[in-house]
Amino acid sequence: MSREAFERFRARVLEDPTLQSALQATPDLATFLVLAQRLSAEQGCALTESDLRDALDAARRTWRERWI
Amino acid sequence: MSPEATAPPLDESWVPIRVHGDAGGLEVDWCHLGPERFTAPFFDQTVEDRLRHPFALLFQHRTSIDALVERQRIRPGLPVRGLVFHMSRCGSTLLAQLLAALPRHVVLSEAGPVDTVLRAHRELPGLTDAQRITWLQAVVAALGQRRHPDEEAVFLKLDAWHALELPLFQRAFPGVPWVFLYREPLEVMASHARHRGAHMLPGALGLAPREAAGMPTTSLDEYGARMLARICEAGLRAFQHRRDAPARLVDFTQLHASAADLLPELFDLKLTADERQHLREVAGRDAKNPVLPFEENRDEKARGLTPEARAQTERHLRSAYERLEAERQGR
Repeated sequence: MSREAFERFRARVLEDPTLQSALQATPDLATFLVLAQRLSAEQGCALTESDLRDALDAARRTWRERWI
Repeated sequence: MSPEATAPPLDESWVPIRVHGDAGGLEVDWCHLGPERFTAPFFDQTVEDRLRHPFALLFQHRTSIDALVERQRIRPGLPVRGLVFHMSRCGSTLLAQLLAALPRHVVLSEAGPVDTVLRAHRELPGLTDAQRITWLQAVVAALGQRRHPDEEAVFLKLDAWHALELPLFQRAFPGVPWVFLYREPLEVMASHARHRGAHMLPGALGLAPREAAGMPTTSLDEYGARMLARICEAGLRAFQHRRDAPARLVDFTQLHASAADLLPELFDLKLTADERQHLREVAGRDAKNPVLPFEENRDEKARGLTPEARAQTERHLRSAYERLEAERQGR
């Protein structure tokens, strides 16, 4: 369920320059996680910090394993 | 993450960082690179720096390869002004770092997406050279966008094994000057003995050993020496058959003597006195670790070889090196 919520949030962000700008302006991870939780709730696909950390881990794994 | 059905309106801040897929076709992952320039010694290092930003890591577009080609039609990118081929461990990273030291250059150093489209025919049987050229041009156009006002030209530093595809590059980028760098074979083999490049490992590039090196192999050293010889021969052959583009063979000793002075000559660069001085300072650093000063390590490199590796080098690689030297010196 949380994965599905994240995918919906990702799609929303990727089509909305305002959301992108807000998230791009927060390179600090802790601040980013707080902001992403708030914005995802506002978009109707509420994510927890744990959901977001899982998504970050999955993205890191995809990049690390790009040659496999 | 599913690919988006149509090309999103990606501006120049979005660049393809990964091309992947299977027999069903290729897909492209796009990262928001923002203002980051390609200044690290290798493409992947610049991307990894950017992926420390959680937005860049989490929010990537995924499109079809066709969307990448369409993007080139809308945003053709900066002109390609030079190609750097090499046998590996012979100064190509130094050359790329010198080029990247000038803010008007976008330098793509061993970019993964370039490699993936070049080798796509291994995964996609029946893929034509014309299609690979289209994808190669589209990848380079997408990576070679102007993201800073000063930027005006793109240079590609390729992976060593891309010299085997030199004729295809010449078709993709006609008239673009190119160089092939090489080095005394014992020094190159000694460097690989400590840390082997992918092309020195049978199977690592998705090539069968027989296909990769041209004949069966009995040892890693033999495979490596044969592969390097094949790369050198490809560089020599392309040089001998060069047509519409200026081409140069460059031995490491020339670079080592005066890389900063040689560079403008290789690619017809017009430099100010300040720029020349800046390049001399950059040339004094270790290219793969720019915070360190460059240290001469030629003797140390050659000493690291086993007798077996020396024998394979002399047997399989020496001749190709000597023919490159003879051609360069007009003998």
